[in-house]
Amino acid sequence: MSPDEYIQQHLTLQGLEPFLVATSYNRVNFNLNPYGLSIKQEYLIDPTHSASERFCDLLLALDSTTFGPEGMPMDKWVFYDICYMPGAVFGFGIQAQQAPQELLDLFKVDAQENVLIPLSMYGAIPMTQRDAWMGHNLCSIGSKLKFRNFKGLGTLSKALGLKVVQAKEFYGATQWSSVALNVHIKFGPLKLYTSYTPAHSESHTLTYGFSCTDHALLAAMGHPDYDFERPAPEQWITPNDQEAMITLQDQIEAGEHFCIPSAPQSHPDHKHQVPIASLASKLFTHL
Amino acid sequence: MNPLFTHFRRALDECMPYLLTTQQNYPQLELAPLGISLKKRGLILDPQLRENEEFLHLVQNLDRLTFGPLEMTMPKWVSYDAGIMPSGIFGFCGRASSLDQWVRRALKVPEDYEGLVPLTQFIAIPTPERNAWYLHTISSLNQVCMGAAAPANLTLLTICLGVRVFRMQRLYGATQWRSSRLGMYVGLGPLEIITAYTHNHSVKKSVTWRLDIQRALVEAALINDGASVAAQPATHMIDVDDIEALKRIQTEIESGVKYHIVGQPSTRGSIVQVPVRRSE
Ligand SMILES: CC(C)(COP(=O)(O)OP(=O)(O)OC[C@H]1O[C@@H](n2cnc3c(N)ncnc32)[C@H](O)[C@@H]1OP(=O)(O)O)[C@@H](O)C(=O)NCCC(=O)NCCS
Repeated sequence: MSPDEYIQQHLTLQGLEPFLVATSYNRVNFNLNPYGLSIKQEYLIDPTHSASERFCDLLLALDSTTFGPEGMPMDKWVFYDICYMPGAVFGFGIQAQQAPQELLDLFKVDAQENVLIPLSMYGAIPMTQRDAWMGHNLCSIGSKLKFRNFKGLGTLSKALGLKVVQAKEFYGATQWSSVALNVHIKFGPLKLYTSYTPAHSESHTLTYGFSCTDHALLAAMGHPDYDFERPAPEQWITPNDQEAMITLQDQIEAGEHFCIPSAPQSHPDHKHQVPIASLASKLFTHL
Repeated sequence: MNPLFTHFRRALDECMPYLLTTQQNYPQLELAPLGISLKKRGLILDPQLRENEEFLHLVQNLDRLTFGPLEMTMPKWVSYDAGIMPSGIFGFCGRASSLDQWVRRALKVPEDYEGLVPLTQFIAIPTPERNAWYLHTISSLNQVCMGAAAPANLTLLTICLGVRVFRMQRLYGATQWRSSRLGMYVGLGPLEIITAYTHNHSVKKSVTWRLDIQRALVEAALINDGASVAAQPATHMIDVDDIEALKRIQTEIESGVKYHIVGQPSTRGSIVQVPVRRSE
């Protein structure tokens, strides 16, 4: 199956509308047909125009609904200054007129209103290094909705978002405890740049990266023809084990290379445990 | 000393420029902005190394101190995800011993710390438009510790060198209409208004602007006070608290009319006005 056919026929995306929030001068640098999935003109949203306010407020609501319990919701100005103006926000939504009551209630939207209700979003900004992007916001309400199965929505939003902005290299930072590691790891083994990060006010943060090849994006989205070789874990780190994070950081600073090869696994006393493998003697063209 | 910096002799004598940037971003940056060598007379630190932890905490404290009072809570991840990772932080620092005790306390400088302390910080985010950046933070200890912390006008010096460090040719930003900062930015060139009434900002009475950066104009800003020599005459003044007027201009901009801020804001009593130039 061709990549375009795979994406266009993906069950999770049926009935969903892709959207992009970006200024007109940023948008000209993007691919608005990722794997043949075209973003309708009305869902190309310019955050500098007054008509965008209602939809942008719903994105804020999506952010606080998903992040709420983890305590990282964003103020309106942070969205403006960090997501919309320098970069892009890509995601999927459903028109209010077609939305089930469950969704209308959640977002307090009237069934007659002409507005897209967002179910997921992925936000990223470019880096000084050309064609490299830094991801900073991922949320999906997919697993909370009962009216349909949205499995894979978070991962699809990130992968297609990276295709839209035409990223070649990707970097991200996340807490050792984050469930989102389950999404990130789908893009292949993740190269570790920091394992203990005092520059982030949450020092139990790791910085990771991967190359955004079509291979990585399609494998992440579950295309059956694309997969990764994943090294075997050599050690495990639990989200509170600062000593292990610092030891690993010292090794990275001394020039050794590590990756997170695969998804976190369950742990009897912690949220999960994260596998680590050395990259020393292995050939990973993907990284 | 380069005559360009005549007015900034004190700042350059007493303070030192610093640059926090990762190994990935370092090769893209200008390390001798306007002839000041950061390698020879500055501090260049990799924020991802543990040995720089103490200085990084002080940068975070400066951030909290300057943003805290505005109640614009900055999520914890922002300065890393939107500053350090995509670009870097540039600013000036000074010896901890040069600070009064109360300033040290405000900045939470550890008792026994005698090293360098950040006094200003400038963060901008790259955008997909080539060499265009978006201003994220420009702050100075002087904002909160009035005149007691750092030499005067260190913010202007920080921004003039900062735009060169990151090799910017264009800078976007969003600023509250009432902010005196507008006066500083317009010193670098006329500001094209992108939004006059900013619906998607927490403070709608904010202006989103675009500044084309030219070296000669940046240098001129270090020497001359007031609006940039590149600014054309104003066609009228905007009362920045007249919401209806701001909305009207916003509608006009959305339909293709151009507005530029071309001069310093002027405050008489409780009226703040900004000179603008309208062109079809
Ligand atoms: C993290 C988040 C984006 C995942 O969205 P999603 O639509 O459920 O993601 P996907 O369906 O693509 O799931 C990808 C993988 O993550 C796993 N996963 C998702 N949520 C999980 C959870 N709470 N605990 C454990 N695993 C989880 C899925 O099972 C799936 O793995 P599998 O295919 O092996 O089963 C979503 O839960 C969210 O918005 N969380 C709050 C915000 C957040 O933490 N954002 C990330 C920080 S930037």
